[in-house]
Amino acid sequence: MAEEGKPTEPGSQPDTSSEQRAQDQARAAKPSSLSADAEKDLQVEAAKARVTAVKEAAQAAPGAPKAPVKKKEEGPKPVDASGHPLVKKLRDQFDAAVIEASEFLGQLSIRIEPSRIVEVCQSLRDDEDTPFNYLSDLTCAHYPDERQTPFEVVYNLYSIPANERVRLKASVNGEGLDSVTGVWPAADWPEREVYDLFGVKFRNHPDLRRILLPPDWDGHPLRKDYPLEFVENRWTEEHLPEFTDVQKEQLEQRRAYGLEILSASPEREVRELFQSGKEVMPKDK
Amino acid sequence: MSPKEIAAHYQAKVFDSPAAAESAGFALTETFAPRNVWNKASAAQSLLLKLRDRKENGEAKEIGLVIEPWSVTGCYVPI
Repeated sequence: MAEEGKPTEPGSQPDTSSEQRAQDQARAAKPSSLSADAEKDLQVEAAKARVTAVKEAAQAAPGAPKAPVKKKEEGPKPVDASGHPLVKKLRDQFDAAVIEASEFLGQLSIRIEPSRIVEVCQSLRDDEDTPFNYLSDLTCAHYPDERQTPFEVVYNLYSIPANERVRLKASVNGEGLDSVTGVWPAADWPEREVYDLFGVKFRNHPDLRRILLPPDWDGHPLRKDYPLEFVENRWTEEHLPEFTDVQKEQLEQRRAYGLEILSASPEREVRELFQSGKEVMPKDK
Repeated sequence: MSPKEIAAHYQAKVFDSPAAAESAGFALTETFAPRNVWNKASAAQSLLLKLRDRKENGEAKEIGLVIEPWSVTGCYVPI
């Protein structure tokens, strides 16, 4: 690099051809940044050549050993938990109300007859050995292929004194099941959420109405027959008015001046967000 | 699951274009224009669940799905 600025001496390199000499002269005439780029290009070319050579050598070798394919190990599976002390106790007390019990990774799940869910919950809460005094979560899952009982309401219970957890499941249809707000008052909002997003009704709930969506919203978004994509419905037509051409132009002008943050209502921002440009989506297999 | 796999699960025919479905005697229903593959799968399942109900209620003889790069459309053969 340091020699590049110096003029070439023809006598010092007797074996160089006239072309090489011309190249050297040209390189010497260029600014140092350009010659650095040229050197980088040469290095890149050399690296590419090395990679090509390695690839060709690998292909030429007939019996080149391949990396062994590690067989994927099967993960743990749920096992029957009929012998669990808590399940035995519940079976003694409620007999047919306990449909099945399984254990997966140390987590106990018990399927309960939905008509007796309140009794079972009451008993678990008042149990002397493991009082499940904390309703950790109440949620739901939708299985549309289960025609008779497509919804599974899930109660995650925790016993603070005994540091134990249990999961209760109740399979129901759209008619729903009894509310457990009488057992754990904390079930109030989770039951409203399940009602809002899945449409499962909870009988005897003190205030069963939507909690996240507007009261006049159509449908229940976490059902499998409700598409993820934003779809216009009666509520959006009523509450999120479309822009006219003049309004769109005004919006563009406001954006150009950086005033959009001050001028756009949150509802319109949401609509813009929903209707924003398409993301990259590969073709289906 | 991809829309094609979902269609296979619900025993629905798959078409490349609405014209192909209509020429096969299918009537088109809703169209969704999802923005990504997850939304596309969700849209396909949503359409097929509604079509399945239609088939079980005796309104449709056969159900199908038109899968285009940027849209999914339901279709069925009316009885």
